[in-house]
Amino acid sequence: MTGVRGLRIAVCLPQVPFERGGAEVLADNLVHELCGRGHDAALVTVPYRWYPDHQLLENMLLWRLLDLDRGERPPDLVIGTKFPSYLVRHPKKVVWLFHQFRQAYDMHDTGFAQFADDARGAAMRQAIRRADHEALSEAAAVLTISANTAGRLRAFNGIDAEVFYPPPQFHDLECLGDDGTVLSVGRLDPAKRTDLLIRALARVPGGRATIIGDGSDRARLEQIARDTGVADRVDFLGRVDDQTLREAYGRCRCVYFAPFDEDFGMVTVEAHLASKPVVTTTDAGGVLEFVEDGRTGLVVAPDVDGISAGLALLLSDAELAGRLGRNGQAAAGALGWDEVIDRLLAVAA
Amino acid sequence: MTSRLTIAVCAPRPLFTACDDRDARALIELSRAAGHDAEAITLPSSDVDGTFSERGALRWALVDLFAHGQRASDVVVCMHPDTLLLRHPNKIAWVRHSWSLSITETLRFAARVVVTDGGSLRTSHDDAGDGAVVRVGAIADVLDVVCAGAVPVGAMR
Repeated sequence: MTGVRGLRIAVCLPQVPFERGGAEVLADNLVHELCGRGHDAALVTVPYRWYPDHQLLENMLLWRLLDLDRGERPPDLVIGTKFPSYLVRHPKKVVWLFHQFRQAYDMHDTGFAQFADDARGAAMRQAIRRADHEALSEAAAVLTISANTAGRLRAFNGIDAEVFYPPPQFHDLECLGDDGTVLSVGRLDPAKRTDLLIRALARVPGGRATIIGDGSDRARLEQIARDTGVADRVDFLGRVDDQTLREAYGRCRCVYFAPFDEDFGMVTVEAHLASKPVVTTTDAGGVLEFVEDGRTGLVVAPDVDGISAGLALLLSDAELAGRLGRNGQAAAGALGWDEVIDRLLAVAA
Repeated sequence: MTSRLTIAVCAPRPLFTACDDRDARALIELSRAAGHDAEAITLPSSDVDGTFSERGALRWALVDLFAHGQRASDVVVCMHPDTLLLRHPNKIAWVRHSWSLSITETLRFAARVVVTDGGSLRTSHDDAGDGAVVRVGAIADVLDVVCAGAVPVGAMR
């Protein structure tokens, strides 16, 4: 299959205007890798809002109304990624599922719920589940980015999927030293639980953290840093360029990454590529497919007590941190594009 | 000095063609250089010309760039007749080609119209003398029109 060239491939992704995160990077990289293999790949985006509820339904309809199989040069293959892009219709459709709209599934009974517990909320959740089932059943194959995502798909939709981990954006990450600090990378969003890092740091005397990323939660997090007396030990860098990010990974002591039931968690892979251990939590989802407690990082309880204990251990023991970090490097370095692209293109054959 | 604006530059996007919209990219780069946030907003289209298409417009009508929430757009630049139907209170039509709509029809959806070299609207007997249409020569002038009178969304709610 690696010999097949010249296919027209549309990679579909919802666009949240003026926001950019892991899904956008991954989709861009997929297009780049496909083009590099001699295909004519293009990113198809549709502006996306998931609130208020009617806007979510309209967005689902919009993907359904796209006519990618028309025109002078229709795509030979369409790749759906995250909700609701896989609702697009095409006779040759394959889905590499980044994630579903989890508020209609596992997140409904958590603090991250969107829909009310009333008839309207139930109808919204049912509409999303029905649309997911129909659209994913149309696909010639469904792949996911993690076993965690595949497990949810099987549990809620009864659909089996093959797991293909996304390769990292930077293969050239490396350990550049050890400045004794904790690094946090990612969108500042309550589900990423950066607040737990800040609160935990308040219990680790002298501990310092660098927080890279921006988002709706930033003002709240900066206030927590002031309230807990660690504002002078936490650096909020906002969005940074690639080189700054590489250096931050390369020079930190360890990486904190403890989102709630994350789909995959590219930060984990990037940390391991830089030979840094990851401090995460028992409920971090896909992160746990790479972080093994005591071997490639620390897996602790999702509370301030657990996280502060984990941070204190690694910040006080550089030798331990170095050993755990090096253990994670091999698995992360093995992730590549060939296997997943071969599987995606098999649908077009 | 205009405050920092969030500018959405909207156009249909043909697939697998060499049609790389340099004008859109130039406006976005100029906007960013001037300290604004600017981004291209596209919908895929099987064929793109200056003709208003009901099918294309229907899809744009489902796009709301003013919904409440973070990072709503302050101002929207519409680079094709179909995009005029997207939902936002401050739309500017940027006419660079021959549009199938008249000035009156365009102003039904857009607050202002800016026409650059090579751009034209269908003539109509009731179009004459409308002061909302600005003719300029350079893309930098388009940005001036975009910023003139633009109101951050927070102030519009």
